[in-house]
Amino acid sequence: MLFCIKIPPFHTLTNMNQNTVFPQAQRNAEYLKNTVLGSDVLFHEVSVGKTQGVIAFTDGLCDKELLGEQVLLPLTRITEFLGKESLSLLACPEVKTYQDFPALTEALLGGDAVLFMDGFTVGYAFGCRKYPARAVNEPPTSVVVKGPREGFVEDMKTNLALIRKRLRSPALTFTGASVGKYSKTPVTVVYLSGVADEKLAKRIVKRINKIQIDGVPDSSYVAKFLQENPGSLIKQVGQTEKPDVFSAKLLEGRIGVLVEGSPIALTLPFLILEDFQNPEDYYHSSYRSAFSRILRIFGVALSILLPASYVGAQLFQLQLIPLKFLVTIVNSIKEIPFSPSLEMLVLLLVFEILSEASIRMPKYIGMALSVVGAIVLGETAIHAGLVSTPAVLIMAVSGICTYTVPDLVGVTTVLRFSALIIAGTGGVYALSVGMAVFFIYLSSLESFGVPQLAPYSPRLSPDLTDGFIKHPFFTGVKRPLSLKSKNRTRMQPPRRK
Amino acid sequence: MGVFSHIKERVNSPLWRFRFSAFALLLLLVLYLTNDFALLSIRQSALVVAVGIDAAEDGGVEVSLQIAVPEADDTAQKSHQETVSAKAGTVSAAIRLCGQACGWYPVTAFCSLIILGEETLQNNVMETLDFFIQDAKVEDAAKVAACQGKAKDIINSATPLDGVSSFAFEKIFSVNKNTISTVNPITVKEFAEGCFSQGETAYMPYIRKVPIEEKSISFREQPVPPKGVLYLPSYGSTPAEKPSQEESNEEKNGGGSSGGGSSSSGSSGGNASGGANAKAGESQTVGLYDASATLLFHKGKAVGLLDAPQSLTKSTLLLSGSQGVLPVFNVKEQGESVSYLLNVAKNQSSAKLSLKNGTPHLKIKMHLSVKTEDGGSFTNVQNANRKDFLSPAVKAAAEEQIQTYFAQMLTLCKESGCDAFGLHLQLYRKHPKHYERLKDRLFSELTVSYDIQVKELK
Amino acid sequence: MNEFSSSQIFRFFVAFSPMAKLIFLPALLAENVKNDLWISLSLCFLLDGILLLFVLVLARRGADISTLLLGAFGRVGSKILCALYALFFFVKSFLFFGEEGRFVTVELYETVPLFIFLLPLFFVGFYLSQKRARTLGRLADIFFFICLFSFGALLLFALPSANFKALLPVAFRNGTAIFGGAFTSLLYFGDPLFLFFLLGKFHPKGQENTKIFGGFLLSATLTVGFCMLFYSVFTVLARFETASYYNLGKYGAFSTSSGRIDLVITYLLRSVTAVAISLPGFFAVRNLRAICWEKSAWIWGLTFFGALAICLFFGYPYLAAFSEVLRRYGGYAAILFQYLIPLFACAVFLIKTHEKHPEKRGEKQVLGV
Repeated sequence: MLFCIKIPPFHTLTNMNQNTVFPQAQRNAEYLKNTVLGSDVLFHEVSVGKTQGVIAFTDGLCDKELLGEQVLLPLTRITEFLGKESLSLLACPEVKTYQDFPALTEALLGGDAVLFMDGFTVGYAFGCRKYPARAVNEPPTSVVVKGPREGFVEDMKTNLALIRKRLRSPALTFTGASVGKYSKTPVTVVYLSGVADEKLAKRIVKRINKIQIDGVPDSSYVAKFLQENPGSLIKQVGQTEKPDVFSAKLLEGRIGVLVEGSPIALTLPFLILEDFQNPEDYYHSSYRSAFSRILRIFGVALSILLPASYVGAQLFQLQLIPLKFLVTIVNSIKEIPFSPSLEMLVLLLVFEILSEASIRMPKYIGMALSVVGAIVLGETAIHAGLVSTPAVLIMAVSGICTYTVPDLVGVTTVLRFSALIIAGTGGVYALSVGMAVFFIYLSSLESFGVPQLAPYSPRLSPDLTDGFIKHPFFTGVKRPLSLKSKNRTRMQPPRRK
Repeated sequence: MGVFSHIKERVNSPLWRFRFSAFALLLLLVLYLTNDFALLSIRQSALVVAVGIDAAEDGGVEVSLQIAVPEADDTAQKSHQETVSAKAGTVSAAIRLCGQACGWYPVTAFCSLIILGEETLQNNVMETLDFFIQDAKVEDAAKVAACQGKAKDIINSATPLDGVSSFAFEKIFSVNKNTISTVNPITVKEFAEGCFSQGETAYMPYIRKVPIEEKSISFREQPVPPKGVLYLPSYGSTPAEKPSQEESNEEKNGGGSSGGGSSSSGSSGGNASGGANAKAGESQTVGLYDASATLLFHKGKAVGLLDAPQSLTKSTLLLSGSQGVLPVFNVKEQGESVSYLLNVAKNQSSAKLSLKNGTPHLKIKMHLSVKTEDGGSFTNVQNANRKDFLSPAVKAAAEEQIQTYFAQMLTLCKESGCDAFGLHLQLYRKHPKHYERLKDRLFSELTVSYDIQVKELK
Repeated sequence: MNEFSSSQIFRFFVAFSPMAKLIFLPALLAENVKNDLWISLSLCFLLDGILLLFVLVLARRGADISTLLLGAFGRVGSKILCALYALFFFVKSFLFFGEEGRFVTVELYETVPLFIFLLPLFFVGFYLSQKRARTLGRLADIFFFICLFSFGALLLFALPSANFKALLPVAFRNGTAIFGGAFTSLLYFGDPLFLFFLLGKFHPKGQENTKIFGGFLLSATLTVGFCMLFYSVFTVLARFETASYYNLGKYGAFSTSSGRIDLVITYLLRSVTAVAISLPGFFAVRNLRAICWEKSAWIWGLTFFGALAICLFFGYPYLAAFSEVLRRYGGYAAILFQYLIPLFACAVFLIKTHEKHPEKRGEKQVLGV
């Protein structure tokens, strides 16, 4: 990750010998110039009556217009600077007072404007931040047909506002922390007091505070520290880019984590079932939602098992395939030079390459390359006798099925290749034993004390109303049992005559 | 202990775990790509769809394997057959020899038909068939049948129904289980169960070639029984015509291939190229075959033969609750003998053994609800057949005919020693205390009563 | 969520109990006991039921396996007993893995070497032994539905070709064979013994004991029912069907016209079987960890399953003989380890708690089992 601002060497930051602010404004300014080496930190001299002062701000992070309107202009109208009393005459609503340089420096580099006045051993930090941020848009990874289209952005304040807009309750708790020795990235833990497990929230805050890292460019870095089993194939921290989803999870009793600079919010604890849930499941009828969820599970299973079963059946267990179909397959693969296992491996690799390239390629040549991928690679390869038609068909079906659950693409791809290798080595039997190993693995996964296969393993019947089969809306009266919420009732179904 | 704790530290460290996982993955990848387990993939396998077994001159067996081979065609829909034969002392050895001859590994998991040649019927066929029972790779759900002449000829022949003869026979043997038919298909498993049961009796269809100049199948034609097999012709049947001199391997035409008068009918059409694609050194014949006769076996040897009407009666008894048709002959109408065809809508049949004062008694019950499908003479409108009307003459003729067939079957059982009605099994299961006493003289002491009713369907 | 619930134990019995019994045992019983094989199985289940009743009574009283063993056998005796149980579980594992290996190589593959296909099984066993006991309950929650679905589907496939009259006559002059069959089958039973070693991990309340016993009864019904169906389908040929549910469904009309779809069920059940036959190894590793200063699960797992792999690899040519010996004489060991010792320990505990000696209830978790 490239940083535009030159980071001062480690020792100059830690060896800030001077902690407290000087009573001379110029001296403070000189000190800052020597310690903060970025040329984007600007200094402006001010006069308040007879008192001289210096205001420092970071160009690009500080809203100069706001600074001028709320701080500098009112300062010119003050005849005598009296410290705190004079601050009340300023138009800036957010003013903090610091006596030590490390805190002042953090505020300065965070976008605040810092004022030093002669005769005062404090620095005043004015909240005039304005970060460069994009507009609130629909996130590309969570597209819905019906439902809210707002998505989180990189600016934490905007994100918090999006949440606050949806949860206008005093119980909504934001607990801030700062992570990253150089980045000092603000991290906020969000939960609903009285709904979420507060012990868990404290545990998460404690864990975040213990993070020791140079910088946090994205929330996934924080997620890795929060995971109890960092080497796990299945993620243990949920992710979402949508404030409506985030709010819904908070209402269930989960804890959320927002990281400055990342549009992806984290939620804990995380259940594997969550990846199969889609916001639209809650906006459509339950029958449609149940059907969609079953389709997703079927799609993921097909994506993982279809190529492996095809190869395993061809190599080891021919009886799985009906005779007439088997004759068709034999006819198709008669002239193919590769073994079935190698053929399928190559096809899946080609698909992954195409998939990866399509994400990175410029849009204006995407269409042309899609044609190349489909026609040239697919049809021509078949006609050339390099691959067989059934194998291409299976590869295509498997690839498409992967995207029924976009959040699981990475896991599904790894599992697909693993299943293929296992089945190609040992047949469908080895695949079924591999499934047993996978189930053992899944059964042992926990996310902050909550088994990740809940509510199916352990079976929590009340939570099954929002499981793989979505039950009707009014059956979700209670919050999930797995989240150990103190207040379990979340809805009163209407009384019908 | 220091080394031990050092090993433990290494194992627990993430780096060594990653290295171990990477090594395991690499090994798995090598195994995946090489598959060097003496593995035989689909391309090295011969899909055996039918097996024909004949007796070899030296006392062994001659096994003919019918292999389904796809044609080199873009549509990938067609297939034709290859036949490979080998002689050996046992079936298993012969199959392996066939594999060596054609260079493919014979996969017998798809074998759906086993045909026994006429000469094998002289010995205990279970000595041949036990390979299919005991070997886990071979399907014991395959149909088994005996044939007139050599099984090799049947395997090697083609029919107009399909380029692969076993697929054609599969159609004949795939009678709906709810349909009464002259064809009594049986699987290897069921045959073996019968042979190993208390009655030591089983049956299988008997495939015979139809004399070629007839080009059709007669329901009432008497089949020619194999040597040593007892046959009591059903009444009204006609002796078989001798095959003409011109009957050879140059036949080209054919028609339907199921037993006439039965409700199972072969479909017309099919791959006309079936006759032209025979390989493996044998010229392929296109023939017409009839599987309406049923061979009865006792202690593994063929002892009795049932012709088409008798087979139909047996099927009616076996498939209680099924539907089908029942031809009735010699119905006296206006001084003439007329045939009728009745459509059996309901069939309640059973052959129950009971003991009356220690004496075994067999009650054969057959209650049929029928509709008149066809038959009789049509002279004027008043005499036209009504489907819901069963004339007393037809009823009486049908009942008498059925009773006669059963009587013939019982006589066949007594004379040949087979137990076509499964009476020994019934005795063992229901009256085990009397089994030892009666097992050797069951048929000699058996009394029989009939409860045959043919009534019109309302 | 970190303990066994009664529902999980219910599902544990239904999912895992039938599996090891349905590989080779039905064919073996069909050969010796013929149509009365279900009676032999029922007798074995009766013994298991008696043990289960005692275990449930103890669980209701809050018994812990460590306290139980220490109270009955003392410290040294408990450790010796744990070692003997590890050996007993080794014998059971040898039998189960051997049968599964034989099934795999004979039924599922044509021309491949044995060991490459036994390796996944050992890996499953080793991997399972690294997990905590709570994983068993969670696995049961998943596999329960797989089992129910699979058995239901097999029933649908097999029923049309089943002839239940083949089970007649019932127990006609077959008493010796029935009891002999039950004796040779004992080594396959004893599932409540696993629950015995899990005492302290589950605390049934109210009617939960009934639910647990109901699970056991359901598993017994499934096993006995399956064997009855098995014999009804294959009748006199049942002795040749050494992979009982592999061929059970192939006579169904659906599977014959569309290929062997019933094999999908077989492979699903293989997943469950792989875990079920690894259970003795799981508990053996726990016992070994309890008796030794070395508590590392992977070391004992590797030792146990490595030794099992070596024994099977070199002993495979003689597997039939070994299995025959194990079945013939294993019944004595089964009676001792599966029934007598646990019942004795249970009885001692009940007597002692009845006498209400507080000092006898201490020393929890000392063994760490």
